[in-house]
Parts: sequence; C-alpha cells; structure tokens
Amino acid sequence: MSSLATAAEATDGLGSRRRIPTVIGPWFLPVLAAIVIFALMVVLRPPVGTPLGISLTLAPLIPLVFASIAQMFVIAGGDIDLGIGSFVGLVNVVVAVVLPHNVATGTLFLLGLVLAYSAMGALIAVRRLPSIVVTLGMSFVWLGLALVMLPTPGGAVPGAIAAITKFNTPIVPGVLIVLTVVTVAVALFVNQTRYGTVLRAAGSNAEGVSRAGWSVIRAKVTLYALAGLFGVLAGLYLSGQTGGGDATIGASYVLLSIAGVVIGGGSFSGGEISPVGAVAGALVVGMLGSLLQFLGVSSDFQVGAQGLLLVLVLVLRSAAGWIQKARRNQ
Amino acid sequence: MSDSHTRYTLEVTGVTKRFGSTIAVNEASFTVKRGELVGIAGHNGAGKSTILKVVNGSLPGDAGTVTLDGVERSAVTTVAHPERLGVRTVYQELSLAPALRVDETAALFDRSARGFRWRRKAWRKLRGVLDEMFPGHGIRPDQKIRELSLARRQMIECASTMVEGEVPLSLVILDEPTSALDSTATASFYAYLQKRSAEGVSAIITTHRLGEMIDNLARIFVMRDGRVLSEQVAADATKDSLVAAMGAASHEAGRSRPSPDTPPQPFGPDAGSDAEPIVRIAQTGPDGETEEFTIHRGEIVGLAGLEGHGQLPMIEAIHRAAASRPGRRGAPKRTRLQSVTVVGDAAYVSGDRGVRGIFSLWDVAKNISISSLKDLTAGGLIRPEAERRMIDDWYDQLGIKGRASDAITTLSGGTQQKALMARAMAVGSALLLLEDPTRGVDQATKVEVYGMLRARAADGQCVIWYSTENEELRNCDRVLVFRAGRIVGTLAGASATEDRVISLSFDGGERERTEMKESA
Repeated sequence: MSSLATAAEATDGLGSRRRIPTVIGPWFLPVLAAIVIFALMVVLRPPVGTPLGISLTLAPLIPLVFASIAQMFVIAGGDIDLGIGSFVGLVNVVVAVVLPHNVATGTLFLLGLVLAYSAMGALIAVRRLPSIVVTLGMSFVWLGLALVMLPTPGGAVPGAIAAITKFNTPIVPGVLIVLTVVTVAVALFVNQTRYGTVLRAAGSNAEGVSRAGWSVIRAKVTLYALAGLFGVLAGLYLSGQTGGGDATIGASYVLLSIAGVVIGGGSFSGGEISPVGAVAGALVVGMLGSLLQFLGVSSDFQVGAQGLLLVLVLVLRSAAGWIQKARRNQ
Repeated sequence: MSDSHTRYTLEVTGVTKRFGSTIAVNEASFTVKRGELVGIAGHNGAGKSTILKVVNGSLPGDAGTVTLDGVERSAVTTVAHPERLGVRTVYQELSLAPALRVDETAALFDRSARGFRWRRKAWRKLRGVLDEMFPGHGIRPDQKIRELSLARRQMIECASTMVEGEVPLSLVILDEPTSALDSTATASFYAYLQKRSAEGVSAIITTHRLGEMIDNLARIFVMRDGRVLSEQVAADATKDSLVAAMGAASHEAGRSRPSPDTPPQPFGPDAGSDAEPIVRIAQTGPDGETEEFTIHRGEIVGLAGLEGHGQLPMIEAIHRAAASRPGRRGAPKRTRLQSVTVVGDAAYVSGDRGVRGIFSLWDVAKNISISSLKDLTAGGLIRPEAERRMIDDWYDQLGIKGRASDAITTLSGGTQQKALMARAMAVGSALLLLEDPTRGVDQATKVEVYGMLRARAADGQCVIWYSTENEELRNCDRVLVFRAGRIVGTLAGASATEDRVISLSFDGGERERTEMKESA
C-alpha cells in the first residue's frame, strides 16, 4: 500500500501544479470581446455610453440574443437548427396578423408553434434523423406558412406587445434588465440544475445518459421545446420593435445565431455550451455591425469585415485553448 | 424459491441469442451465488458481451430465462431500468459524457442526490467510493471528463457503479473494467470488490487479463462460440487451463521468448551501435547530467511503468518529432524531461479505437487503405485494383475474417484493432508507434499481433510500444521503464518480468541505475 501512495503522490504532485483557475470558463473571451467592442463604440461616439444610448444600441440586438439562446439549446443536444430564422419570421407574422384580430387564437397559435418544435425534436430523437435536414426542411414550412398568411409585409402588431418591448426604467436601461434576467435564468438552469446537466450530457454522450437511466428522447424534446420557446420570444420582441409583420425578417438569424453560440464558447460536438457566452456572442455579432458603421467602413465592405473579425475572435479562442492545453501538459 | 433467493443472486438458463444467421450466444447457462465474484473468459466474439447484455436486460434474447434474486423473467424481455432491480453495469466502451464535470457525472449516475447542493452530495458519495477503491486517484470534482486520462475515466465509471443508490446493489456486471488501469489500481480495485462481496454484492467480470481473474475471483466460466463450455474454480485454474478451455492452446507457445536469432541488446541508456539510430532521446538526469537513449532499426522497444508516469507524452512526442517524409530528420520535440529526435516518418496506432482509430462509417477496406492512398493513386485518382490488391494482401497476412466491404463496426474489437495495425503497417514507415494496441483484445489476437510486430522488426522497421500490460512487454527487445516522467531504467526483453518492471516503477530505480553505472 505504501508503494501505491508513492505513485499517487507522483501523479498528484503534477496534478496540483497544473491546476488552471476554473473561474475562467468558455464565456470569458466573448464577454471580454463584447465589453471591448462596446467600449470602442463609446470612445467613437460618447453618447452611446448614456442610458439612452445603451438602450438604442442594445435593444435591436435582443431578438438576436433570444435566437442565439434558442440555437444554443439545439447545439447543446449535438444538433443544429437551420430553421430558426424562418421560425422567428413566422412568429412575427402571427403576432402581426392573427393576434390583433383574436388574442386567444394567436396565443394558441404561438403555443402550437412551441409544441411543433418539440415534436420536431421528438422526430429527430426517435428516428435518429439528421437535424440539419429536418430543420432545413421545416424552415421552408415555417416560411411557407408565413407567406400564406402575409404575402407582402404589412399587418399591425398590438400596442401592448410594443409597450412590453419598450419596457424601461428611469435609472437602469430596461434592455440591461431584460438581458441580465434572461441570461441569469438560463445560465442557472443549464449549469446549476440537475436536469440542465442531463440535457448537456444527452448531447455529449447519449448512450451513456440512457445507460445512467435517463430518457434521451425526453431530453431532446425538452431542448427543442426550449428552442421553440426562445424562438417565439425572439419573434415577439422583434414584432414589438418593428410594429409590422414580414415573413422574411428573420432570415439572417440562422447564421448569426450559430455564430453567436460558437463565438460564445459552444461547440458542435454537443453538450459544450455556455449561456453567458452565447448571449455575449450574440451581442458581439450584433455590435460589430454598428461599430463598423461608426468607423466609417463602407457598407460594401461591412459584411466582409464583420466576417473577418468573427474569425479573429475564434482564432483567439482556439489560441486560448491551446495555451491552456500546453500548460496542462507541462 | 426462497432457498434459491438466499443462495443465488443470478441464475441464467439456456439463453440463446442470434444476430441474423450467426448465433452469438448458444444455450448458455451459469449461476452467480450471493456475494460471489465470477469471471467469464473467452475470446472476442465468444459471446461474453452479448450474454451480459441479455442478463442486464438491455438486449432481448431469443430463448432462455434469467432469474435475479429469485425472480424469474424470460430472456426475451428487456428491462428498462436494471438499476431499479439492483443491477448495474460498466461497459467496455466508456459511457461518460466528456462535456460534464466530474461532480455532475456523479449526479447523473446517482439519482438520490437531490436538493440545493446536489452536485456536492453526489460527489461526496462518489469520492467515498473512489478513495477506497483507488487511493490517491487525484480526481477533482471540478475537472471536465474530457480533460481526464482514460484510466481516470475508467476509475470514475467503476466507482460510480458502487455508489449506494436508491435500490441496494445486488449484482455488478463489469465488462473489461480494468483495461486502462495499471497494476496497482487494478489490485486495489479487486480488493474493494472483495470487500463488497463479503457484504453480499455479487459481480460478473469479463477481462482478457486471465491472471487477474485467477488471482481475484471465485469461479470462472469459459465461453467459446457462444457456449459456456467449462466452469473452473479460480483457485485451481491456471492460465493454461483457461486458455486450453478457450480452444487456443496452440497460441500459448507464442508468449515465450521471440526468435532466438535476434542478437541480445546491450543494457544501459546507450545501446551503442554504429548505424544511425532512428530515435534519440536525451534526458536530463537527476544530477543534471544528460543521459541518452537510442533506438535502432529492427528493434522493438516497450515503454512501461505505472499509468500516467510519462509514457504517453513520450510516445506522442516521438510521433510529433517524426518527419513527414522518410529519411529526413525531424525537429526535436520536448516532453517535460526529455528531448526527442527522430529520423524518418512514423505511423501511429492507438488503443483507443473508437475515438482515435476507426472511421466508423467506412468499410474495412477504406479503413485500411486511408493512410496509403499516396501509393495507390495515379494522376490524383485512386486505382481500385491496386487498392484491392493491397487489402487482399493484408487480409491474408493478418488473417482477418469476413469481407473487405463490411462496415468496420461489424468487426469485433480485436479484429478492428488488426485492421488498424494493417493501416499503420501498410504505410511502411521506418517507425511504428503503438499506444496500448492490445487493449481489450483477446489472447489469440494478441499473440498474432506480437508475431506481426516481430515480422516488422525483422524487416528493419522500428517498433515503439506503450503497454499497460506488463506481461506482454516480454515480447520487446528492450523495455524503458518510466517513473514520474523520467526513464528510470532499461530492461532487456527477457528480463522484463512483471516484478522487475513494478520494482523499477516504484523505488527500485535508483538501485538499478547505480548497478548500470557500475557495470559501465
């Protein structure tokens, strides 16, 4: 037994020295990037730093933040959602066309959409279908439905919804409160609850989760239901801000939400997600556009410059991972 | 009924399971007494894993009955939650989620940990078992599973099976539970099992390490071609008797010393040869002096020691140091204490087949030819007949059964490993690096692998081999023993007995080194 202790000390001695502070999680870089970008914007245009400036800068990004959280839940399950853009568009159309005429029908419709998302998750989990195909196919269904209801942009979003999205307080900008509350709630659920752990585990090793006695199918359905819920929230917020309906309004959210999750420390291997990171990632993606505008980059170059900066963030992240690994192996 | 309830934890009668036309398990019957540790031995493909899956209810059988704690069920039915019957299983492929932390993993297995501090509660229970099962395991609750070594993951999996749950544990099924553990961890694992068996917990263990079964279990059932052929009391069993029962007596000879015509290699850090060595390892000694180890053409060199003492970083450093083209000298690469230089290119075979080896969606042929495509192409296109010739050639040489167009995942673990060896050998690199290539592989296949390595070495290839099984290091010309990241000794293959390796791994190193210095 004494020899065993010697061996343990040998390995343990190495172990304690290479300990990395676990405080710095995958969310650290995206949060830092979001702060840096915001600081740059304040330097360029000082009014951005005022409460009103913060509201005006961040409010348009809230739908993207919600869409990124929706995407994050799907990516947590090891899947990818190519339908979230059309889905947000469909929600927008329902809010602008159905809800003003009949509140009950509209609400049921939105609930039905969340259920439809759960059913999609069940289909993917039970039949083991590739999510990329199913969600892409469904994206045309969402878009088609929206176009049937509203072929050309129009309709009118009920005033109550617009009022909710313009929620504000005299001291702290309402956007910050919404962002903080949602982020904290999602992060607590994903990281601190037992079922949140099961959800992440289901994306990381489904076989192992079912061997441990949990239902993988239920976990997948829950993930997709949450994705649907946040898709609806994104659509509601977007509707309140635009005031009208447009079936194609969410088209850009597919790739932007994926970018937000990945910049936020998420990985396609499943289970590796960070809610704080995903929110920060979505803000980075969104604020980059404004920052480039402030810098006077011509709109012709903006998309390209935005893409390059995104790649840069990813390179920084992989470099950080590489340094951590090197320190571990030392 | 009540009598059997007190005596037997498990009675399996006449279980049969077919996969298509092949009979995986054929009328198999065996019993496990309360508090008994039972082993099931047999080659890969003998039906061990299959019968265990029928027993725990995850796979429906075709006939037979399974009686657990006196409650009989038909083997045709499956059980959704075997853990609620007090049955838990550790599978050969690890089933931990790499994205989770250790304490989250503990909570995933242990549903009884609830409430505000669920993670801490679950971890405290798991740590209780870990500390007892693997003293000094060095696992912390905030580590991510994917950052842990294979051995530590296996420790977590073994320990989590033993945590007290909502239903008292009556039977543990362990499929190759020690395949990634070193001998010390293995010993403490069995000590723990024996302690629990005294409390009435029964266990079924399958492992290819026969010595482990003989030393630690009560009875051993030998399976062959899906049948339970013999039952041996472990106290009377020997490796020979088990191997004979498995139907592979002829392979036993393969474990003796390799061909005597290989010249005995000199002892000591520097093997001293006129030809330029393939691998040169420079190590800073304890007194600051530089020790050099060289490895030459035609040599098989083993890396031994306790798990996690620097063998893996070494073999990975050698791989990184290798040049992309034959004949070139690569840039030196460092481990913590050594600097490695390699001349020529290298091929690498990992024992972690599932993750680092196979392309699971491809057939066997593509899995073998992927590394040699450079030699099989003309004008950028693959020449199908050249590829087929190469595959046929390797099928013959390695004796792989089945067709080359079968999906690789339909092969047994041992055969998959042979296909991976073929992939690496087909490249014809000067240097072949093996990372525990026989993990979870049956004895007959192992003997074949040893023969293949011997043949490669005779052809002038250089083989470097990291193994967690000290016994198979006897097949090496020389063995480098590691302790705490340092090479503490060199043993000639014949003298690389388990005792010598273990004594060097712990504290015999200093004495051995002084002996070496004096003799030099």
